[in-house]
Amino acid sequence: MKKSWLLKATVITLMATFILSACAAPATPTPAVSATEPPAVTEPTQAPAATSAPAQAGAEWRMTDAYAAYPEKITLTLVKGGQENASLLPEGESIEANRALQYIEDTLNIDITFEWVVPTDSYADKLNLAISSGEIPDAMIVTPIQLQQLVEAGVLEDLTPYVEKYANKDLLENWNQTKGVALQAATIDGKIWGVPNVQPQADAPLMVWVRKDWLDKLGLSAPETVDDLEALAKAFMEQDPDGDGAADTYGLTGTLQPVMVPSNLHGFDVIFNAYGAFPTLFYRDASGQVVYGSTQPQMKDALARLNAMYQAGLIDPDFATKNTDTSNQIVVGGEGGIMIGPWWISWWPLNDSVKNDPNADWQPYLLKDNNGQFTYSMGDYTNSFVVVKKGYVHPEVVVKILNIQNDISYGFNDAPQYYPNFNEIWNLLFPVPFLIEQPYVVERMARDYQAALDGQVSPDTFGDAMQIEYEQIQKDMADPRSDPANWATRMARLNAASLLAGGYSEVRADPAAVRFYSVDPNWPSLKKMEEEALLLIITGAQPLDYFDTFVQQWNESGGADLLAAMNQ
Amino acid sequence: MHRKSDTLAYYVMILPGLFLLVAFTFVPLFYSVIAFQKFNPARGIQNSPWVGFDNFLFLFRIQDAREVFANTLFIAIGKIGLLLIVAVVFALLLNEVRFAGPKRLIQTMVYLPHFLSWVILAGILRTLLAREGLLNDALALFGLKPIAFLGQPATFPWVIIFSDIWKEFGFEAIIYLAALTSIDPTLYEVAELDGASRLQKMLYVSLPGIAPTIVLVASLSIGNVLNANFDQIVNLYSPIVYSTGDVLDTYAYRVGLIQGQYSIGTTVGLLKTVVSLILIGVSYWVADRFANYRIF
Amino acid sequence: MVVSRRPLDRIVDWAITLFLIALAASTLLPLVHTLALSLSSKQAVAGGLVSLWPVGFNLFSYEYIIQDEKFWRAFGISLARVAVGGFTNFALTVLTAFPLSRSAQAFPGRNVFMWLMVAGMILNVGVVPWYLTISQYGLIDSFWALILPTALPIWNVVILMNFFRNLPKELDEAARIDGANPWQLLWHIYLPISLPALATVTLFSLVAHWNSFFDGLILMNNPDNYPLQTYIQQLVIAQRTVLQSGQAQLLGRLSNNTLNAAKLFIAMIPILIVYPFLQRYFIRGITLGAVKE
Repeated sequence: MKKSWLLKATVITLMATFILSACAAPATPTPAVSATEPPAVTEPTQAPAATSAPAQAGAEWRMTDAYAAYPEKITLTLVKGGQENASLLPEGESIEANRALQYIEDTLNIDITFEWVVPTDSYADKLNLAISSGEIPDAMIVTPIQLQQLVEAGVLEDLTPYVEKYANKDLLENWNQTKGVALQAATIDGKIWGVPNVQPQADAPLMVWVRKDWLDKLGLSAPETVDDLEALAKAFMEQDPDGDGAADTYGLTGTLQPVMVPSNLHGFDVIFNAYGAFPTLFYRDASGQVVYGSTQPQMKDALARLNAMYQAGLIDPDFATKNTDTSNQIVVGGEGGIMIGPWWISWWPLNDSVKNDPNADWQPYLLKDNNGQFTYSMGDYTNSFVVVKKGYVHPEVVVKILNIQNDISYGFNDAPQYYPNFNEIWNLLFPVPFLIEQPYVVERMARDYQAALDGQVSPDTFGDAMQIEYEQIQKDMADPRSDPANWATRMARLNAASLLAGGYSEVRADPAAVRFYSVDPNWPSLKKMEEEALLLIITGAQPLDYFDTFVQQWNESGGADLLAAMNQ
Repeated sequence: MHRKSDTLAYYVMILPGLFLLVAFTFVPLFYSVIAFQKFNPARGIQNSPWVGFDNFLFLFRIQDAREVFANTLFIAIGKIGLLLIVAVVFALLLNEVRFAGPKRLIQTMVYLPHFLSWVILAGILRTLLAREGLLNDALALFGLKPIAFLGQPATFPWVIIFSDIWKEFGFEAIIYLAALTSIDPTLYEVAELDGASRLQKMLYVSLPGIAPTIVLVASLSIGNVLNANFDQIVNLYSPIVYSTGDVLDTYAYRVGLIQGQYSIGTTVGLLKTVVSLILIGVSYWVADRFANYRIF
Repeated sequence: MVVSRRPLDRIVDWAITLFLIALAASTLLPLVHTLALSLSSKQAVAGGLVSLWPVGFNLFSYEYIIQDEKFWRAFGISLARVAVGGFTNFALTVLTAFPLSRSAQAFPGRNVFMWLMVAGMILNVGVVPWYLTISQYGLIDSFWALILPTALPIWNVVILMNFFRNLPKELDEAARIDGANPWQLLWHIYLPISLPALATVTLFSLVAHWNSFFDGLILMNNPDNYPLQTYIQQLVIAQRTVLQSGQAQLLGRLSNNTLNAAKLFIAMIPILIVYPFLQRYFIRGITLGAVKE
């Protein structure tokens, strides 16, 4: 039975919502388990009593060190992306000078300067260049491959003595919730070379966002399965939901990247997941072997379905040549009423749709798989690291900065958060735009907001950041979509995140896999082969049986060897 | 007589150009040694490990490289061949136009696309060739099903070939028009006296008259069979058409710069340079031998 | 050429002429279509109603572009690179072609230099080493990265050198008798007499600078430094709409299709302006390139 391995995947056991005093508490650990591990419930960390008090229940020595100002001002050079969005910052503030940065500099008595600030897209290139010319800053954010290269080249400071010593309790807890995967990923030859991030896991499961105003107009009900989704796409295409008398509405949108974990806007991942296929993931199957999701037999069923939908015209006929921005224009311009994406897309791009048309009542829904379960491909816990240049005298300062950044993000420790649009600009404000989040923070916050709305907890106990959001949620409930920003926060933080908080099964990549494929010289061509095969089969340029050819080619071109290495 | 100060002046004149030539052509050539390394940007050229011909062997082994090489040849040769035919036919026909005004008008129109960039033309083509684009609308008038011109491997290389012909045939015809004007008019008169029809004159006087030029252009093209035009393809392709549309230059760019596999990207470039060098040698030899033409 | 007077011939004349006019006009249809799109209403474009004539005529796209700072910044950078790059190309072409047009006796080493030039033209190094070199020079994000790597257009040097070599030797000798040094010879004799050839190669390099997008894409990290073609490539081809401000509000009145069409059209205008000059000179340029003494 092809989906038998799934039975091993454990549904997230939801902890009864703690009456959280505030966000100062480490997350209610949401024990998420990968397909193979036995369900293990992480010991909940005790919640401190007061919001404002730094979490002092733990070792005090650590707290002191973690925030101690340097007796004499020290300097730190950094580099940064995000330059293209600088206009989102409040009047008078910049990436180089803003209140959050100032707070960090003042608290630690340091002087931060940026060697360069570039647009997000150019960051990786620019950094590669800086690395190759040997002009690296004191600290920087790098990818797993760069980490490997830099360690090989011997230009990094060993952070083993500092990471666990200077990290505050929240960071340690958040790493802990990844079941050690995060710090393990930063460890090469027994030493920790970088501070690992932790990504919110909520970004991976894709939802179907639908214009409820169109649903209601056509008298349809919310989609629960792929069948429903297909029927909905058909209705939106044929029944003129925008009422302009022209057959100008799209069914499903897509992009040239049909599969990508996590956060794939317009992605088809969720349709693959419904068929028990988990493309792009190296995961352990029922027998404990690492297998590659994109070459599993279940893929064929999902591809057949997608191809049928494409042939029926239900998927944008040009999707294979469009990128995210192009397909966003369909929904923003009011030409489409369905968008697949993660929980946060109400902030972007759907907020623009609401700006254009205040009637656009986008609502998120989760799709069930063919067994009636919610099961999704999950992303990695960790995908980047902060490293320190060899010879820099205060390597621990990066950990201290990360402590404060985390506090500001969640309003811990009285760290002030000054910005109403913080979620849009946090990566511009912070000197090290990098979050070590609770892996299930999104779900936890949704439960908190719901509890406050239900009157079970007072919103006064929330930190600054959450209070601002809670107000936005309430405003939008009073007058829906009058302010797109309020609406976006409500949809993401409450409606969408609550769906996730309802629980789902995870299929997670084997944490060691990235070590193998990222250095395998065959990997880029295997990847290319896979991307092409999926697109060709979905669009019908190749028949369904081409999938078998692809699997064979993939195995012969180094894929089988790669799997063999992972399984040793 | 040659004065020493004159010679000095020549050296001074050529110095800036020579400096730039070294800086931007010969220095990069030196950087090509990373094709023989497992280049680690953090270690630099000095400290990256040497791997001999491993990168070359890797390329010979993988399917990608074969596919890319075949695509390059197909597209480049298709362009060279068809462009030559279209340009020659166009030049012969234009040569028959007796009215000066219309002739100039035609020339003005067909030369224009040559001067527009591929960025602009690709932007235009993407709109024109989309499912809802003008061309598919036109097909629909004839009851034909819409075609994803840029979105399927079967049609993509032909779009590349024909759009290149669209851009260049007028310009390419100039050299044949020049050759046609230098044909001795008495040849036509003689043919006329022999009762040759217009078509016969075209085939037996005009065409042989420009044959040397055709041979010349064809032989000089040999050096170009690995050039499928990066600017054009990079602005029109997408992953779904990699199997027929990815060529050496786009591959080297994507693998080398976008994916950061510097050594592999450099190896592709180096292979192309070496093969091109041989082909250019061949083409000049052929041009010299059969068209009696030497460029330098 | 004998002009035939037979009636059939007249008909064939007309048939060929009309056919070629139709063919030539059809090569321009895509451009006309683009212009029509840029002037049409959003709805008409989305509904596929626009072919060669605007439907729902409006100037919204152009009104928007006039206020689009990023577009005009890129436009300005392109103009600057055309001016600076064109001048640099001109100066270096002349300075390099002149000594190379001398005999090997007058300019010892001439043949070595010539071979270096030829090698430079043929040895087309790959994009990776090219990029690494330029980045090592610290030219990334510098305006000069758009100028220096292409500052010496070798093909133009060859064209001009051939032109110089074909000039009558008497000119040279007359000047020599007057005691002119090479600089004076170049400035007072060669340049004035070579104006058509110089115009040709200069126009070539101006067009090349205007049309180039790849160097801007690779060598500029900051989109504020993009020349126009790179900017348009990123916006229209790569669809990075972040480069455009106020997108959401904008989509109410115009779509990206109409706006992009307008941007494509505006980017063509400089070429259309210099086109008459181009047409006058480029035929000569092509034949010049082919000529050998």
